[in-house]
Amino acid sequence: MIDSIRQSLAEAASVVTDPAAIASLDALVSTIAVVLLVILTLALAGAALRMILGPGHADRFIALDMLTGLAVAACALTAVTTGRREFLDVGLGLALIAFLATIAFAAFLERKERSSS
Amino acid sequence: MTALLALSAKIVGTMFLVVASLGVLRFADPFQRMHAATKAGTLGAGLVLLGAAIAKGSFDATLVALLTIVFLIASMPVAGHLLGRAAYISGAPLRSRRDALAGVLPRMAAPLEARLDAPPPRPSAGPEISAFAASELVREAAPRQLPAAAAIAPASGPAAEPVEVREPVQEAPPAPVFEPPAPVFEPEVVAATHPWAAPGYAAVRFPVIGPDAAPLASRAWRLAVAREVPAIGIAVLDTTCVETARIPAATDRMRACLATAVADTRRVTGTGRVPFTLIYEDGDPSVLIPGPDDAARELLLLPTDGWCHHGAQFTFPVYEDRMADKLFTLAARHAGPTLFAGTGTPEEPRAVIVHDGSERAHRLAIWALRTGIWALREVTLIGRPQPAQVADLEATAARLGLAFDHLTKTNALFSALLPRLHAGVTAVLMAEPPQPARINAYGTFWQDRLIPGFRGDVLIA
Repeated sequence: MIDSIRQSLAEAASVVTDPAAIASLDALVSTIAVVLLVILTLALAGAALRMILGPGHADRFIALDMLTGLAVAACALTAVTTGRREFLDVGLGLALIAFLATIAFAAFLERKERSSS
Repeated sequence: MTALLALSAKIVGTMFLVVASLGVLRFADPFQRMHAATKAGTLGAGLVLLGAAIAKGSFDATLVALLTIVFLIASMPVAGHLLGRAAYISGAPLRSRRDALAGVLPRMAAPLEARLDAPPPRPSAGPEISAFAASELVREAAPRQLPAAAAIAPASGPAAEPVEVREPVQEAPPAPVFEPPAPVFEPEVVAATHPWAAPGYAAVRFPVIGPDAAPLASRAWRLAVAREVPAIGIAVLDTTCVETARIPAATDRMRACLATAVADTRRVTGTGRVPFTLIYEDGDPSVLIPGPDDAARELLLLPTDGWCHHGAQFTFPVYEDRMADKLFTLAARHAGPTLFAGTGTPEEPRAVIVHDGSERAHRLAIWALRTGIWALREVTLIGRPQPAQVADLEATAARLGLAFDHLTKTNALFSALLPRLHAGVTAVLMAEPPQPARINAYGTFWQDRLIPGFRGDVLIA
């Protein structure tokens, strides 16, 4: 038991130091990022479901706020999988704009009283 | 090593995002959902960005990722707070056991979607254009100041509909309970040259403020009849309220509410015994309502809550709540005493005099006792007046046949003047309005800040 743990530790150490193993780990990181993107899509689906279901306007706006964080994270993961750092810029822009959107929706929610007709 | 670090940051971040999404999906009310989305969402997105920055390693990518993290941390709590506040004000359903913000923030009765589905409220139910045209005509024709009988016409003109629909519920005004005759002795007290050194008042001023105008008007009427002085009712349409209103028919609705208030006032003020003037104005109530100067010796009568939007619910709710704070501005601008008419029935014939040792407070106390606004049997003095003032007050009370008591230790909790034990007193007399001068400070009604549960009269110099 102890021997097996020691052996796996040694393997892990060789992975960290060995250049070939690092190269394979890079490929692994890319693969894992894709898996994480898929998981993130599930989270995205959850927030979207809340946005569709409602039931109130407040719930929908909160779900939209949640989507912001998810979209920024998705941008970061895409930047890792594709290797293009421009996606990080996209994430920054998204965060900036979504903040404004949330504020606008909050103002709407707070001030709207009845249908204007 | 950095690859492992980046990987773990990304995995943990994604985990947080999934948990946040689960929370948004599963929690019961918008506020719980927001709590999940804001906290876990910020942490998750931040960790994923951090992982990406470490994985990329280059300077510019790290800079952009760190900038994004900083911005997320700065903006997500603000956005979450704004959304939560907006959701609360808009009346989103709340599943917690009690509403901890009750009285702190205004809150709509129904959530937004219910209000959007509901039919528009009655006062603006008529055809919009004709109502607007009518109001414009009336606005041109409305005289600045009117004798009593004619005064209702301009206010009720465009809003005739709701006034007619409204059933006159209580026909007979409540009979005057008591207004004791003025004491007759001539005392030797304070600066006799001051306008308010002598007892009594030359007129009673009061604003006509909806939606509950009748109690104040009948109180003003009784006060006027008791000393046979004229009563002056001022019905003001607050132009600030009209300007800040966010619906087109605001003026009409406010006129309708004011017309109802004027009708209520007319019903309880009766006729004949004393002159009654009803002034109708558009403008700034804090200029129009207070009396001109000390020489006029007018007593200003104010409600303990309410403002010149007359209960028409259409302005920005937070502002509408704070507008009633201007009642204290009216009291400060009025030359002479201001009586806030209490809504409760007094349980004991006792007045509490809050005395800070100033001549103003002393003059007010002597004036009020000698004028006999209330039928008192007992006077309680609190505060630290000068010994001569205490003696003077005691002598005045003795001459009026009132029991006198000087409380030096009040045992009040927190910032209240007196403990709940004294909540049944008829009136509280103060030189200055209570601080902070707000109707509802931190969820406590201002009279509760004087004496918890107190709903009697408050007289302010």
